[in-house]
Formats: sequence, C-alpha cells, structure tokens
Amino acid sequence: MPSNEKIAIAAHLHVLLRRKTGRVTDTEWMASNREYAAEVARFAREKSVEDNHPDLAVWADKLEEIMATPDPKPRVPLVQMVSEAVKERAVPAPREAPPPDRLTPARSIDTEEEVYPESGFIESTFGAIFGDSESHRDRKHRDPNAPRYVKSLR
Amino acid sequence: MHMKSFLAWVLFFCVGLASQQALSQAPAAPAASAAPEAAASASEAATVAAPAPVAAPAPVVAAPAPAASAPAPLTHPGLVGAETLNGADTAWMMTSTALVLLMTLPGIALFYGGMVRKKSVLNVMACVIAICAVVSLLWFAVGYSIAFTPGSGALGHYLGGSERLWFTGLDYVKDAQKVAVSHIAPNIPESVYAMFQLTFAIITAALVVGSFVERMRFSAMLIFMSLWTLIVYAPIAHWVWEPNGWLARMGALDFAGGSVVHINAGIAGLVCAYVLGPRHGYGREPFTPFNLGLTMAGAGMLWVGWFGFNAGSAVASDGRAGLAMAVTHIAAAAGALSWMAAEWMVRGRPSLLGLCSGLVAGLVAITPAAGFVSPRAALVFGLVAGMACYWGATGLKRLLNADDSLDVFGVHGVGGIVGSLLTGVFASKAISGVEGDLLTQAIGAGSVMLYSLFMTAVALWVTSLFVSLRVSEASESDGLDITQHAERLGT
Repeated sequence: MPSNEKIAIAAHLHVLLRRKTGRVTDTEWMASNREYAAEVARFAREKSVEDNHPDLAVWADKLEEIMATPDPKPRVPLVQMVSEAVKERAVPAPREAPPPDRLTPARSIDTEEEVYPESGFIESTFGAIFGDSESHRDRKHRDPNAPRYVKSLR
Repeated sequence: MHMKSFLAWVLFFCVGLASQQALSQAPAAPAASAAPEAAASASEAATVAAPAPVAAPAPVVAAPAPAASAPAPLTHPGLVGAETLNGADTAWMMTSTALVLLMTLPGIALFYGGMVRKKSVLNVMACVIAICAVVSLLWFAVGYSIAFTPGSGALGHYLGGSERLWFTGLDYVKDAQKVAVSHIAPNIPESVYAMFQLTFAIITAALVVGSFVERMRFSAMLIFMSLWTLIVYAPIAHWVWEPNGWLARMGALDFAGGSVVHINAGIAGLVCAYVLGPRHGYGREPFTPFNLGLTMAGAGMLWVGWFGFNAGSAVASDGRAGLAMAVTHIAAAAGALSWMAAEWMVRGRPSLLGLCSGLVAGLVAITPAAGFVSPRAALVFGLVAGMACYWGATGLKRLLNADDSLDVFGVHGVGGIVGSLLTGVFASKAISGVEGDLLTQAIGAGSVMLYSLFMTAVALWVTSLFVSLRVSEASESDGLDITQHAERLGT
C-alpha cells in the first residue's frame, strides 16, 4: 500500500494533467509503480514545456522525489501484536515446507510436456499406504498455465 | 468435379438396383420349416433353440407317434413359417437395433463433435449423418449379402454370396404367413437381423471419422466410406460372424465386434491419419475441444447404447443377453475409473474427457467377450483396458507419430486388441459352450489388422483417383463447417 503522501502527490498531478492536457491517469498505480510514475512525470514535463504549464514540471519533480523514497514500515496495531505473541507461546508454529521452485516448470514422467499442479491424490492415498515417495516430495510445482491440447487431446 | 464423382456412384447404384429388379423373377427359396436348433457356434449370433414340444402322456387314445425327425437347420437365408419366430427375441432385437443406431446418431456425433475445434463441429456431425445414410443403402444393396450369406465353395470362407444383393430377401408374405430369416438367427425376422447388423456397419464407419477430422474433404469421405464398407467391413464381418467364415471356422471368438468393429476401425483410422497427414499446426498449437459437455452427452449415449450392442449380439432375450448386459456395464465402470486413476497419477488431476474416454475403452474391450466371460472377468477387462488405452492415446500415440485426431486407434484399436486377447484367456465354457484360445485370438486380431491396413490404403488410393483427399490449407484454416457446408455454429 503506497504511503498517503505518495497518493496525495499522485492525485494532485492527476488532476493537473486532466485539466490542462486532457490526459487521464491512474492515481493509485502512479503511487505504486515506479515505472508508471516515471512515465507520467516525463509526460508532465513534456507538456509543461509545450503548453507552457510550469506547475506540471513542479509536481512531476515532487512525484519523482517521493517515489524515490522507500515506504515506511506498516504499523501493526498493538492488539494484533499482543494476540500474535500469545498464540506463539501456546502453539509453536509448524515448520513450513520449502517454497516450491516455480522457475522450472515440472514435466510429466513419460512426456516432456508441462503438466498441471498435483491434486494431492498420491500423497493422500499412496503416501498413507506406502509412505511418502521421494519422487513425490521432490516433484516440483507445475505451471498452471502450461499449454494443453497440444499434440494430444488426452 | 467432386459432385460429378458422387453422382457417378449414385448412377452406378441405381443401375444395379434396376437390373436386379428386372432379373429377379425366381420365387423365394423353399423354406425349411419347423423349429430351428440352437447352434453354439463361435459367431456372435448364438441362436436360441425354440422350445421342443413336450409330449404329454395321452391317457386314453393311443400314445402319440414319436415326433418326426427335426428338420435340418438352415444353412442359407430362407422363408420359414411365422409361427417359428420368437416374439420376445424379435422385440429385443428391434430395441437393440434402435439402441445401437442411437450410439451413432447422435452418440458418436456428439462425442466427436465436442472434441474438435469449433470451426469443424458441424462437418463432423455431417460426416456421421452422411455415413449413416450411405452405408444404409449400400448395406442392403451389397454389403449384407457379402457379409451374411454363406457364399459358395472355398471363396465362401472369405466372401458371401449374391443371395441378398440389391435389396432382395427380407420377405414377409402375409397370406402364407411366411417370413424370411437368416440361417444365423432363425428365431427373428431377417429384416430385423439385417437392420441390427446394419447398425454395426454404420457405427464402425462412423468411428473412423475421428481420425481424419478437420482436414478430409467431404466428397472424398463419402467415396472412401462407400468403398471401405464394401471391401473392408463386409468381408471381415463375413470371416468372423458368418458360420462359413474362415475365422469363425477356426474358432476365433468375437461376440459383438472387438475385431470386426473396433480393431478394424482403429487400424483404418491410423492408416487415414498417416495418409492424410497431420493438421496444420499440429504439435505447435493447442487444438482446444469445442465443448466437452457434448462429448459427455455422447459418451452417455454410447454407454447406454452399448447394452444393445453387446446384449443384442446374443440375438435373443435370454440369460446370456442379461449376462452380456451386466458385464458390459461392469467393464465400462472399471474402464472409466482405471483411466481416471492413470491420468490422475500422470497429469495430476482427473478430467471429464478422461472419464469419458475410459468408459469407452472399457466398453470396447468387453465387446468381443461379452457373451463369453463372467462379471469378475469383466472387471479385469475394464481395469486393463482403461490403463492400456490411456497409454494408447498418449505414449503410443507419440511413438506412432500420426495425427490420429480423436485417438481412434488409441482407444478402439488398442482396446479391441486387448479385449480380443483377454477373451482368449477368460472365455468360459460354462457360459458359452466354447473355450477360448489365446493363439487363435491373436491370429484373428492380427488377420483383421493386416487386412484392414492394406485394404484401407487401397480404398484411400482409389478415392484419391477421383477427388483430392484433403482440403486446401486455406479451407482447413477457415474451418470445414464454412468451406465444406457453408454453415456455422450459432454462437
């Protein structure tokens, strides 16, 4: 969530651009995305020169300056901090499984095509009977966007 | 150009019909009367004995003379007295005929139509309907006679005779109360038997469509299917189901068409896929099915219709038909779950298409065995077929490297081979009166495969002499609905 100051500056620049150039911008995205903010600032400077609107350049500078500063840490409410501390003492947090490697999409055993993520059938059924198999533990998460119906319907 | 070729076929057909009408002056063949005997043969048409009259003891008058010796069983189609027919069997066979035709119209039409891309759905459906029409006329003109008359001499082991050419036979003489019957099924009218077998011929040809969808020219398909029905399907049906056929005489078991229908269609589909070549973009673009809901609707019709396919092949409404119905259902269920499990393990999740394909695989596998095996064996058929056909539609398909678009060989070919071989293992003498033999089954399946492979290629070659087999690249890209039929789906 961008800081209030970033949103305020982005909103002011949005209004100026709308009134003076007719250009519509996305205020929230401007306050969140550095590339978009940089592009809007560039456009504002360009228009300030072309159409003689010096205030556009001023606010473009402000936008660039505020986008360069890092966001402050979000403030956690005291009640929430206390409740989390109590829970941790009562029940230790479970060890998390290592995050899946999403850089390399998994591939089917007998084919090279990317396949969809597992449903847990093997782990819940065969894992209980035969114990976890290493291949299933090591099986990487599959890319849900893997193309289907290429070269075969089934 | 293509219309002219098709009109030439129609003209040939009409000339043949007219000449047969002119020449056909002989009265109907003398009928062998009285009750037919049950024949426990290797053919799928296991007849049912008409109940022999029980000689009740006469208390007063002299005891009745011993019944005259039973007349010789029919060896050719002929006229019999209407009183010898079995009404229950006839009713069931008419029902089965309707069920099997429903499997094609609209079962196969929906099953295949849902799996192709949107731009070719109507073409697939048109192919199925057109095949039904063309095969129907050719069947009564030529095909039924080639397949289900005994023929003569040694040639009769491979090809039927001319007794039922050009729409002859199937007589019903009201005044004399005579009805034509087939020697294979003397308990029902021949018209019903011929219709029942016609539905098998129709569905076999319709199955092949799945291999060449989205690229075969419609006129070429019509010519090819006409030839294929007469030179491939009819002879194979004769070999397996006509008592004089060489595979039937050898003892090959095929209750309802594992080899005649499924292996035959599978191999023919594979040959078509190789000859026509892959679709443009095959292996690179996803060919997304239009509507798998249609496929499921079609699969449901196939499942229910298969009761007519298998139980109807008992040619009687009796215990054997009931058993065939039960084993059919068990195999379908087992096949669906088996394919689902295989797909779940390999791909990570089950799919509707997998369930539909698996149930069809189970049905295909039990087809040659439906009248020979127990329910427990049917479970094995389904489980094995589900896994085997999943491999057939995936791994084997990649090995063969042919664009068998809707996996006709993978499901029907592989399933038919599995079922035929397992029939040799599980056929029970207690159920059918015959024992299975794995080697005999293998010879039967292999013979059908080789013949279908060679003659399908011949049929395609002959067709290519008249019209181009494949549409142009532009037509294929635009879709066959609009280029072949000038029609589009509504949405």
